[in-house]
Amino acid sequence: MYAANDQGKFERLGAYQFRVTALTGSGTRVLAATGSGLWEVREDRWVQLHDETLTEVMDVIDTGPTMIAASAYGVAFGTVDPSGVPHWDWLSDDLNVNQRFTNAIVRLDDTRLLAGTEGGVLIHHATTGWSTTSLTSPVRCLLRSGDGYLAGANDGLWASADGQHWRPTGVTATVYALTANEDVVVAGSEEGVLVSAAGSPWCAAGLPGLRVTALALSATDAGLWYAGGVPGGLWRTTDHGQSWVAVPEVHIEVESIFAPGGRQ
Amino acid sequence: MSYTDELVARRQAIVADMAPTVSTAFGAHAVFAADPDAPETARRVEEIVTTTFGAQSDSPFAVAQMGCFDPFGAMFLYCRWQEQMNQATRDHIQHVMTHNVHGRGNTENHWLMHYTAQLLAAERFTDADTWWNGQPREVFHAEATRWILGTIDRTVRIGHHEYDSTDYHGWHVLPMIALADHAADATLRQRAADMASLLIADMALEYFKGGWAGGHAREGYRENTHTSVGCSAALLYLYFGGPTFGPRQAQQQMAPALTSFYQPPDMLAAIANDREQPRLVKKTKAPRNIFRHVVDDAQPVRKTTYTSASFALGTTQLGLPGAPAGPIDLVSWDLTWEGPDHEAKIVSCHPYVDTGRFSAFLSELPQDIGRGVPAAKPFLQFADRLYGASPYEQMMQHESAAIILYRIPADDQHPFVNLYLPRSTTWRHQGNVLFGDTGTCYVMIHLIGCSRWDSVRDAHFIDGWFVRLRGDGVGLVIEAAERTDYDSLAAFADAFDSGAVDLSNWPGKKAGQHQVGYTTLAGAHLHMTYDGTHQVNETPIDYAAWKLYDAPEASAEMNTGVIRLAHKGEALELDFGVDAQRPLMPMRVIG
Repeated sequence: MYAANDQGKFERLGAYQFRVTALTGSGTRVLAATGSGLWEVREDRWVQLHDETLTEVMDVIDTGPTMIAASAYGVAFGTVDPSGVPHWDWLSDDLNVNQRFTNAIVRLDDTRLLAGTEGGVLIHHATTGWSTTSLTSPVRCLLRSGDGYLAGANDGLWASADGQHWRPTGVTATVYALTANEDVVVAGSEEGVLVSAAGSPWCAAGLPGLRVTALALSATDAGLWYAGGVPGGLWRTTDHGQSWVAVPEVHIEVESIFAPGGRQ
Repeated sequence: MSYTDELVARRQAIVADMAPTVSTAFGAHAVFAADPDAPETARRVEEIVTTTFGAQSDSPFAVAQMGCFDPFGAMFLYCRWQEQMNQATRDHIQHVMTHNVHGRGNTENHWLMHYTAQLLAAERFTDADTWWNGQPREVFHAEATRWILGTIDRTVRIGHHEYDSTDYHGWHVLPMIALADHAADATLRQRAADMASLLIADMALEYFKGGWAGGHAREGYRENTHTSVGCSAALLYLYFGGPTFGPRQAQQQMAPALTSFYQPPDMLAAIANDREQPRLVKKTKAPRNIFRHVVDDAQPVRKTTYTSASFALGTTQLGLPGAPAGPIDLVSWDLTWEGPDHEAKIVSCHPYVDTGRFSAFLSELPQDIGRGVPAAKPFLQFADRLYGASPYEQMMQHESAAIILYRIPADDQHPFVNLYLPRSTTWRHQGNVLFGDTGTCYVMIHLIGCSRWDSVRDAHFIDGWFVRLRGDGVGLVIEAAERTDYDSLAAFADAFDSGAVDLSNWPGKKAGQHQVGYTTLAGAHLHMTYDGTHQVNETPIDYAAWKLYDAPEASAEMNTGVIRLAHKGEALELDFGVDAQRPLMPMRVIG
C-alpha cells in the first residue's frame, strides 16, 4: 500500500506486502481487503479482522459494527466482539462454484445485497436468500449510480434500474473498475478509461491500451482523477482524463485506490 | 538391531554429514545435535538466526513481512534448543515473532507452518499482550488452535488436502512433530503425534526403495522422472532407510526431524520395507480446491497404488470438475522401479495450458494471471512437461495394469500427450506395442493413436525418450510384471494375446461410447468407458464407496477418524475422536 504525502509524493505505507484488492473508509476507519484476509489500516499497524475462514477478500462494505466481505469463497458478514475475536457468518455455501466467487458487492437497501460473481449478478435477501438476475456473465465491479446500478463484466458494461434486470450500455470491453462523482461516471476497462457525464454516451478518457483496474476521483477537485493498472502503474490526470501522468513511485499492480472523501 | 537403534544411527549419520555446512534455522538443529554444549555452537547458531531470520527492511518502518517457512523454522529451533541457545538468539526470535508482519501464505503447508509457529510463539512470549497483528495474543492463539485441529479433523475424515506431495509432505510432517513435542495442550500434542504418524504411514504404504510411488497432489517441479523427489526423500530415508544416501537424503530443511523427541511407530518402517507380497493400496483424498470457471465442485481424489517386489504402479481418479481445472504440479500416475534418476520411471502427461487453469484456484484477474504465474515459473507452460493435471486425462487401474486415455480437443494449445520412457530400458517395438526390460521388471505398453519418438533433455530435470501421441483419442495400456516370472523379454512379449487390447470402440461413435478393453496377463478383463464406468470382470468399480484407507496394512472408513494399521500380528489404532456430525472446517488454500 502506498499513500500520498503532503507534497503529493507517494510513499510505501508500512511493511505489509499483502495484495490489496479493495479499500473502504467509513469515516472512522479504513479497511483493506487483501489476498490474505481483511485488515483495519491504522497509523501504527494493521489490525487483523479476519479469522481462519476468510481469505482472498475481493471487496468489502463497512457499516460500522458489521463488515460485509466478498471473497473467492463467497460473501460473509463479520463482527468483532469486545474481546477482539472476529466472527464471520457465510452466506454463499449453497451456491455453485462460480456463483460463490464474488468480486464486488453493493447494498441495494437495508435487506438486500447485490453481488457481482463469476456466475453473474446475484441478489441476496436477508430472509429469502439468494436469487439470480438477468446478468450471468462474470462480473468484475459494481456501482450504485444515480437511481440505478452499473455492473462491469467480462463482456462489457451493464446497467440496471433495480438490480434484477440488466441491459447493455454499448460498452463491450471488459470493465474492471467503476466510480462516480456527482453526474460523472468513470469506468476502468480493458481499453483504458471511459467516461459518461450526465447520462451521455460513453467515450474514451485516456490510457488506451492499459488494463485499468482501479479508479478514484477527488472529492474536492472535479478534474483530479487517479487510475491504477495491471500489469502496473498509478496514473493521475488533472484535466478529466485528457492527459495522464504516471506516478513514478508506484509501478506495482494497482487494484484499488482510496481517495478520502471520494468514492472508490 | 531395533528400529529405534536404526533410527538413531541414521540420525547420527545425517547430523554428522550435515552439521559442518549448515546455513539455516532448520539446519541449526543439526548443529546443536552435533555438539550442543560447546560455546561456539551457540555463537554459530546466533549468527545463522540473526542473519537469515527477520532481516530488517530498508523501509522507514524497519520491519519486514515474513513468509511462513522461516518463522516456523525459528520457532521449532527455539522450542527444541532454547536451553542451548544464547540470550541474543532467544531475544531475536522473540522480537521477530512478536513485532514483524507474518504472512500465512496460500497453500495448506504454508498455513500449517504459519499457525504452528504462531501458536508456539504465543505460548512462549506471554509478555506480548498485543500480537503483531493487533489482536490480543490469546485471540490469535485460539485461531491457530482452531485451524490446526480443524485441519487434522478434515484430514482424518475426508483425506489429506495437499495429499502425498513428494515436495511438500515434509512441511506437513514437521509442523505436526513440532506440535507433538512442544505444544502446551496435551490433547493437541497427542493429536499432532497421531497425525504425524498418519502422514508417515501415508509414505510407508507407498514407499518403494527410496522413493514414493503413485499419484501426488504436488510433485517436485520438473523432477518427476527422478526416483527420489523433494523433501519427502529425506524423510523416507530417515524413517525407512533406503538404497542411496546423498544430498537429497540429508536436506537441511528436514533437519528438525533428526532431533525431535517424536519417533514414528516401529511398524511403519516394517510396512514400508515389506516386499514379500504385492500390496494394493487404495486411498481417498480431499477434493482439489477449484473456486471458479466451473459450476460443480471437485470430487474426492481416489488413489490406487500397486507395489510388488520389483516395481510400483499408481494411478489417480482426480475428481476434477472439467476444464480449465488443472492443478499445476499434480502428477496423476506413474510406473517406477529401483534405479537412477531418469532411468526408472514411466509417466505420461497432456501438458495442458489454459490461462483459466491458474485463475481456477488463484484469485488474481483471470485476464492477467496467465502472464503473472508463468513469469516466475515458466516451466508450468512447457510443452515438454510431465506434470500438471489435464482435464482430458482419465484412467483406471487393476493391480499391475492400467488404461490411460485422453480426448484432447483439436484446438487445444498442446494437442498431444508426452509419454516418457527411460533410455536405459531395452525396448522391443512390435507394431503399436512396446515391450521393455528395465533390468528389474518387464513392462508392456500398448500405444493408442499416432505416435512419434523424440528425445527430451531439460537441464538435469528430464533426460530420456518421449513418445508423443497425437490426435483425438490417444492413450496407452500398460502392464508390468516381475522379471523373474519370465525367461526373457521375448517370453514376456509372447505371453500377451494379440487381442488383449480391444480398441474396437475407440474412439466410439458418440459421447459415452468411447471404450477400451484389456485382458491382463492374469486374465482379468478391464473395460473403461471414457466419461463413463470402469469395470473389472464386468463389475463396475464403485469409486463412491471408496474408503479413506483400504489396504492389507491400513483401513479406515470415511468420516470416522479411526485409522487401523496392522502388520504381521502387530496392530495400531489411531483414533482422533472426531464428531462425525460436526461440520468440517473449510480448507481455503491451494493444495
